[in-house]
Amino acid sequence: MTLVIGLKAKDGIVIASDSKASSEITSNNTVQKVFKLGEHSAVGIAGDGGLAMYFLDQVKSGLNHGTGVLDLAEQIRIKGKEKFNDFFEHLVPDKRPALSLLLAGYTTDNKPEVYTLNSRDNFVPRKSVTGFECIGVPYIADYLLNRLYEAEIKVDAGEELCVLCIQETGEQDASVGGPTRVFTFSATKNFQEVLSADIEKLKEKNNQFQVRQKSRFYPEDPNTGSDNPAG
Amino acid sequence: MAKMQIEWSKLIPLKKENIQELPTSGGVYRLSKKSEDGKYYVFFVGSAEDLKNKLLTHLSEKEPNVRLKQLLSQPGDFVFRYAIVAERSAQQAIEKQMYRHYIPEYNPEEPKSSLDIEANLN
Repeated sequence: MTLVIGLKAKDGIVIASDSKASSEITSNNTVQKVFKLGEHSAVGIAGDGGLAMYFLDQVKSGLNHGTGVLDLAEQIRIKGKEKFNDFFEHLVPDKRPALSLLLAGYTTDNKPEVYTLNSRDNFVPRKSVTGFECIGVPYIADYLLNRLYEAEIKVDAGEELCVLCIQETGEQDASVGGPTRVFTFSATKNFQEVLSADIEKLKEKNNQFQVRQKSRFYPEDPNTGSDNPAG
Repeated sequence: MAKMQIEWSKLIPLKKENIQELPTSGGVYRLSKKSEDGKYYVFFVGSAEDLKNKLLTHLSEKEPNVRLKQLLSQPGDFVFRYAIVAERSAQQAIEKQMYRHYIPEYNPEEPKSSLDIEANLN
């Protein structure tokens, strides 16, 4: 499985993913799940890895990036529906494999937006109303983002929050893992990847944060201990 | 992982006169503060080759941990408990074990130890 997170920050967009692909008996930690579309738009994908790659190659070709993310979402909807119906016309919709897309970019008037699209409902774009979206294994990340995300978040803190969500999910769900990859862009700054060394620093910082309150659950027992403990 | 049995003291009020009664032995300790719910929560764990001297330092102007010094200078019901542990490497391993168990708010970072020991914490 996969976890892809996209969030709107005050000064840009952050899109991040794990890099694990797993089948019943094997796993691989080198899978790219986030792709640049234009300099100011990106897509993350979750689902059957090989199918996702081929589907994306097919859908990406011929996209017009200059018309804003809303139009990009509509282009992907039309192409996605067409391709999926072509690929799987022999299968009824319930039996078809599922793919989820997370699309992030800027509107023609430079507003950041995040959309999710799913093959199960013909890739109808759903616009994020919270400022963030998760696809793949979203439960832990959704919980954390609901608790910790605010619209005022800056890109650097957004990177940290995405890393925390993927880190926490990976610790609880073996289907999410491998190196965390984080990408950022804004209306004026081009798509770029955060250095893996910087991600490791964020992980270390998160290790300090995540269990900060643990001592609350283990108060001292005043009834234990001796008057003169021996060495 | 090697198991180690140590003997902990009772909770002792964190006052100079009580610390003066301690042996000058090495060991491990933890500091707690009484919360509004009446329970004592650990906020710092440590180890020392001279327990008495280390605990006295915490209450003195020489305390290098600025946040800890500030906390201990404020009013509050502070207590500690300690255990005598002779070997420095074992002290450090137990300090790290306590850190991971309590994640105390006033330890700036996880103590370092490569020794794989698990001691009783009560």
